[in-house]
Amino acid sequence: MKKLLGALVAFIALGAFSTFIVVQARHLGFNQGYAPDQPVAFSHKKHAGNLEIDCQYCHFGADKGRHAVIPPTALCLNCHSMIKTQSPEIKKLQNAVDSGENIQWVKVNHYPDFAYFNHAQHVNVAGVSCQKCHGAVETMDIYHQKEKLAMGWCIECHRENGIAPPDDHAEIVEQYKSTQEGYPSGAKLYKGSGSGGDCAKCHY
Amino acid sequence: MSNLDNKSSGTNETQVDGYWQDVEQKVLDPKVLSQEFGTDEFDSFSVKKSRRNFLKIMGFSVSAMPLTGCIKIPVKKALPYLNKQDDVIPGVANWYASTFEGTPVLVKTREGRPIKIEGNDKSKTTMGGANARAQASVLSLYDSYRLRSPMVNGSSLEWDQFDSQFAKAMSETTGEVVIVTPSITSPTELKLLKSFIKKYGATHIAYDAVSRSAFAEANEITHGVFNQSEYNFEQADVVLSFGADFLGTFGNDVANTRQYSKRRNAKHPQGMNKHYHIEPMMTLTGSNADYRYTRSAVEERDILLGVLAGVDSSFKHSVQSENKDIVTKMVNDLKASSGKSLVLSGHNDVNTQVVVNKINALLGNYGQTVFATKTESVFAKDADMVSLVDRMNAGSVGGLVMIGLNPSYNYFQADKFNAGLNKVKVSTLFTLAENETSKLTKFVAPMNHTYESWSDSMVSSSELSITQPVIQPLFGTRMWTESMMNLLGVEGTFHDYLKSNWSSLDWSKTLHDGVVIVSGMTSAASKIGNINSYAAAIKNTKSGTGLNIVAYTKYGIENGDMANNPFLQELPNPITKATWDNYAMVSPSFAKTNGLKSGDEVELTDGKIKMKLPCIVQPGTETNTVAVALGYGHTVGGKVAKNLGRNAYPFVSFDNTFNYCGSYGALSITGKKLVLAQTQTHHSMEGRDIVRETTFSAFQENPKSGNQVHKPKTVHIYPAHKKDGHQWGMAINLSSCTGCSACIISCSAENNVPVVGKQEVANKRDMHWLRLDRYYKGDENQPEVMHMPMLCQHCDNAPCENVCPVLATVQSSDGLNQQIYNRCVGTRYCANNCPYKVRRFNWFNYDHSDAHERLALNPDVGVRSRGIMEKCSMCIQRIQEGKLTAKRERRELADGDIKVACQQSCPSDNTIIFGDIKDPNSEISQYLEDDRQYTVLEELNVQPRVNYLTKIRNK
Repeated sequence: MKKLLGALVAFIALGAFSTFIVVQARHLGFNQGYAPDQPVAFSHKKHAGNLEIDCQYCHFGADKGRHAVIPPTALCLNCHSMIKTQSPEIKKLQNAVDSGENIQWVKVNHYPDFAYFNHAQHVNVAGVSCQKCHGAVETMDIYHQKEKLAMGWCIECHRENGIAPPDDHAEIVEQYKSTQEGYPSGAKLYKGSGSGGDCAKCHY
Repeated sequence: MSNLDNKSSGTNETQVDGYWQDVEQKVLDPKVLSQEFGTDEFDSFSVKKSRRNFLKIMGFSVSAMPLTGCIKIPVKKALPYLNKQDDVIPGVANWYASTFEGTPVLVKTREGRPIKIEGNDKSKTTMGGANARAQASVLSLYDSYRLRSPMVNGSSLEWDQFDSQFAKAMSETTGEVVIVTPSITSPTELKLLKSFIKKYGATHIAYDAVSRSAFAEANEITHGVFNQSEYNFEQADVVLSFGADFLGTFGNDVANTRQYSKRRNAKHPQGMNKHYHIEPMMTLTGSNADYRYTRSAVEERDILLGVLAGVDSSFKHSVQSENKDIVTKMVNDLKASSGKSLVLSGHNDVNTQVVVNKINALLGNYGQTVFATKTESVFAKDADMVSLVDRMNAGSVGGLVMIGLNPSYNYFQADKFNAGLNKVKVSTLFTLAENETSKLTKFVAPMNHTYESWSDSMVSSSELSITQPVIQPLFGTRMWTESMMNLLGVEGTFHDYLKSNWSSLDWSKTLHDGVVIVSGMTSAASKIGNINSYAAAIKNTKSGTGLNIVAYTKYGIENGDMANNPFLQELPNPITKATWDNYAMVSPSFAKTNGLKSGDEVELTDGKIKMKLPCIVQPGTETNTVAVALGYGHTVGGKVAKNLGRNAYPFVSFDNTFNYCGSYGALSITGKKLVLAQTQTHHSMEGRDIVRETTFSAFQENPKSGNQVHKPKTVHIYPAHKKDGHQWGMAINLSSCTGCSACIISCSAENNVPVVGKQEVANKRDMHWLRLDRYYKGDENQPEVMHMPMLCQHCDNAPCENVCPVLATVQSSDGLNQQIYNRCVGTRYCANNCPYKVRRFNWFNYDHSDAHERLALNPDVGVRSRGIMEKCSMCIQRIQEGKLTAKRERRELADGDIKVACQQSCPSDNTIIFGDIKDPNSEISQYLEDDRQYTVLEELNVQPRVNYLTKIRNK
C-alpha cells in the first residue's frame, strides 16, 4: 500500500512537473515585449507620433508585398541630409551610406521560416491598421514587440472577423456582392478566398 | 518495396493486360532488397543503443527543459538596403526576359537573384515552353566550381594584367590565327567576331561536340544554304523519323514538342498525326511513336533507300524481305499525305541527309513542313575542325581562341587535339569553369554565365530573342564579348554594342518582351538534282563486325557541358529511368543469350579503347547494338561531374562528318556488380488499368473507348468535405505528354526539392515530387511505351489523412491535400498508406550549405529538414500569390491566373491543366467532361483531384 501511495505521489509530482514544463514551453520563443537597443537611437514616437509621418513612407513594402521592409539607409537621408545633420546619430547614417558599411538593426518581430505571412494581404486587402498588430508604435520611443505574434493570436483575430472556420462565410460574400460594385478595400472577405483556417494558407 | 510487390505479381513477364515495366521485374534479388534497409544509414546516432543510455538521455532531456525557459531568442540582425534599386521591392518577384540555348525564357528574380526559369510565352517559336536544361540552368549559374579569375599559364591574375598580356601575345603571334566557337546564331556576336577576324586575319571555325554538320552540308548541296532546316510539325500528317530524336536531343526540342503535341490531339481540325520511327535504340521520340521499329543502323539505311525508291521512280532498291511490308505501308501513307508529311533522319551523315531532303522534296514538303532558309548564322562544319587539328599538329597555327568549348574532352581524338594545342603559341579559352581544355591552355578567361550576359540569338529564321543579364557577375568574370572588345579596342560596353546593332528596334519594348520578329523567312530555292550517287554511297557504306557501338546524346546531359548540374544528373532519364551515370544499353535478347543483367559491369571495346561501365538491359534496343551516352567521364570538373561515368567520345569516328554510330566492337562481362541509380523499379502496374489507352480509329467510333472501366462507387464512412470557395483540380492529357521530364526539374526548382545523390537514389529515396512512370507493353524488343506523370493526386478521400497521428496532412477547404511540415513527426504512415506512392520522406538534412547554390532556393517555400514527409503541394505558394494579386487588384480570380510550375514549363501543348473544377467555364471543367477522363485506381474510391485523359495512338 505504501509503495502504491509512493508511486501515486511520484506520478502526481511528475504530472505537475510536466504540466509546468509544457505551460512554460508554450511561451518559448515568442518574446512578447522584446525591446532591444538599436544601433541608432531612432524614435518611432518622434517620427510617427509627433511628426505624423506615414508608416508606409519608410515601410513602403507593407501594401505591396510580403515584407513591410526596413527602410533603406539612403531613405533616412531624404530628410536627414538637411535636418539635424550634426547629430551623432544622423552621422551614423551618413557614414553608412558613405562607407558602404550598413547599419545592422536588431530584428524585433520574428516569425519562423515554416510560416508565411504577407503584409500586403493584411494592409492592402483587408485594410488592417499597423497598430492592430504592432501596437501604438507612434507612442514608442524604443520600439517593442507589443503582441505575441503566435499562431493562436493570428487565428483569434481571423475568427473574430469571420475569416476562419467555423463561420460559414459564403453568406458574407453574397452580401458584399449584392450591395456593392466590386469589392472595396478593407472588405472582410472575397469570394473564393477559401478558408482562413487551412494549415497550408500559411505553412508551406 | 517494389521487389516485394513483384514477388506477388508472379513470374509471368507478360502480365494480365500485357503491360510490364522492367525486364527484371520478376527477379526478387535479395541484394537489391537489402539496399532498401541499409545498415549504415543512422551513423549520426553514434550513441550505443542500450536501455541505460536511453534513460541517461531521457533524464537529461527532462532536466534541461526548465532551463530553456530562461533562454531568449538569440539576437538577430536585420540589414536594410543602403540604396534600394527602384524596381526591387523585397518579397516581390521581378521577371526579366532572356534566352537560354535558343529557348526564350523568363527569369524570376527575388531581391536581385534569379531563382526560377520559365518559358517566354511571347515567343512565336517556343510558345512559352522550356526544356529540362533551361529549367536546370539556374543551378549552373550558381555553380561554385566556376572560375573566379583569369589565368595565364595556370596562375591567376587581375583582369587588366590579363588584358595587356593577352593583347601583347596576340600582337606578337606568328602563323595562322583561328577562332573556334560553337554554332553561333547571334547576329551581334557574329558582327563582333568579324572585327576580330579582320584585325588578326583570322579564320572562324564552328565546332559542336554533338554535331549536326551533315544537315547543313546536305542543305548546301540541295538548296545552296549552309543552314539547319526548320520544321513545322503541326502541318505534318505523317512523320517518319530515322532515329531523329526531335522531341529530345535533336535541337529545337521545345518548339518541336509544342507543334508535334498539337497534332497528338484527336480533336485537332486536321486530325491526329501518324508517327513512324525507326531506330536501333530507344529514344524519347521513338517512345512516342505510333509505329516504332527496332532496326540496326544497316537496316535503317536499307529502309531509307526503300522509302526513296518508293517515292522516286528513277531509283531502284529492293528492301530486305522482312522490311518490305513496313516500307510499303510507310510509302503509301507518305504519298497519301504529300505536302503534309515530314521525313527526318538523326544521322550526322551527308549522304543520308541529302536523300532525306530529296524524299521531302519529292513529297512536296518543302515550304509546308520543312524549310531551307537563308541565314547569317554560322553552323559547325566537322571537317573544318579536323583540318584545324591537323594544322595545329603541323605547327602552322600561332593563335587559337576558343569560346565556351572543351575539345580536350569531347573531340573524338582528344590526344591529337592536346598534342596540337601544345604546339600553339597563344592558346586561349573563354570558359565558365575549369575543364580538360583549360588545363592545357595558356590564356584562360572566365566568362559570364548566360544570365550575367548580354547577347541575342535567332531562335528561328525570323524571330530574335534577346539575352539580358539578370544578376551582376557572381565570380568576378566578364562577358567574353567584352573581353574581345577590349582586345579589339572597341569603346563602350557590349550592351551599347548590342543596342546600336538593333537601333531600329524599340529597345525597351524588345527587352520587356524578350522576343521580336525581325525578318521574314527567306526560303532558299531548291537545286536538288539527281541524288542517286548519294543513295549509292549509302548502299555501299561499310559496316564493321561485332556489336555496333552507338555513342548517343542523353536527354538533359547532351554534350556534357552541363554535367556539373545536380538537377540534370538526378533527372531520371525518360527511357531508362537511370540517374547519375552513363551505361551500356543492351537489348533484352542480347542480355538473355549472354546472361547479362542490369547493373552487371561490362567491358566495352572497339579494338582501340576499353571501357568498363555498368550495363542496362533496355527494351527496344536492337540485338546487335550497344549504346553509351556522351557527356560523362570528366577528368576535370566540379564535384558533381568529375569522374562520373565514362567518356564515350572516343567511340565517335570521323568520315567527312562526325559519325556517332560507326564504331564496332565487343562486350565482355567482368563479373562485378555496380550500383545503378534507377528510379524505374519502384513502381509496377500490377495488372491494373493505371494507364488507359485506345487507338485513333477506335476513338473515332467511340470516344469512350479504352475508358469503359468505371468501377462502382462505394459508400463514405466520413462526412463529405465542405466545398465552398475554389476547388482546385488538375487534368493530364496522356496523349500529348511526351515524357520529356522538364516538369520534374521545374517542380524541383520551384519547391526547393533537394538533390539526394546517386547512392540515395539507388536506395530508392529520390525526392522528386513529380515523377514520370514509364510502362512498356508488348514485345520486349519492340515495345509500346507509355509515359505517365504521377504526382500527389490530392484525393478527396485521402488515405494518407486518416492514418496521420498528428494531423500533419489534412484536406484544405479548396480541395488540396495539405502537408504541414511543422506538424509532421515523421511516422511515415501516410507514405505507406498512399496508393500512388507519391510521398517523399526526408531521411537526412539534405545539403543546402553551398553559399552560392543556396541563392537558388525559392524564399516562398520552406526548406524541409530531416524526418519530415513532403509531397506535391499543387504549388500552394503560386495559388496563394494568384489569389492575393486578384484581391489586391479588387477583382475575382480568373481562370488561368494561376499556373502551377509543371504546367507552366511543359513544352507540350495543353498537357497539364490546372484550375477551379467548380467553375463550369474553366478550362479544367471542359477536360473533366471529356469522354477520355479517368482517375487512377478509381476502384479505391479515394476520389483524386488529378484526372488523366486516355492516351490515343494513331493506329
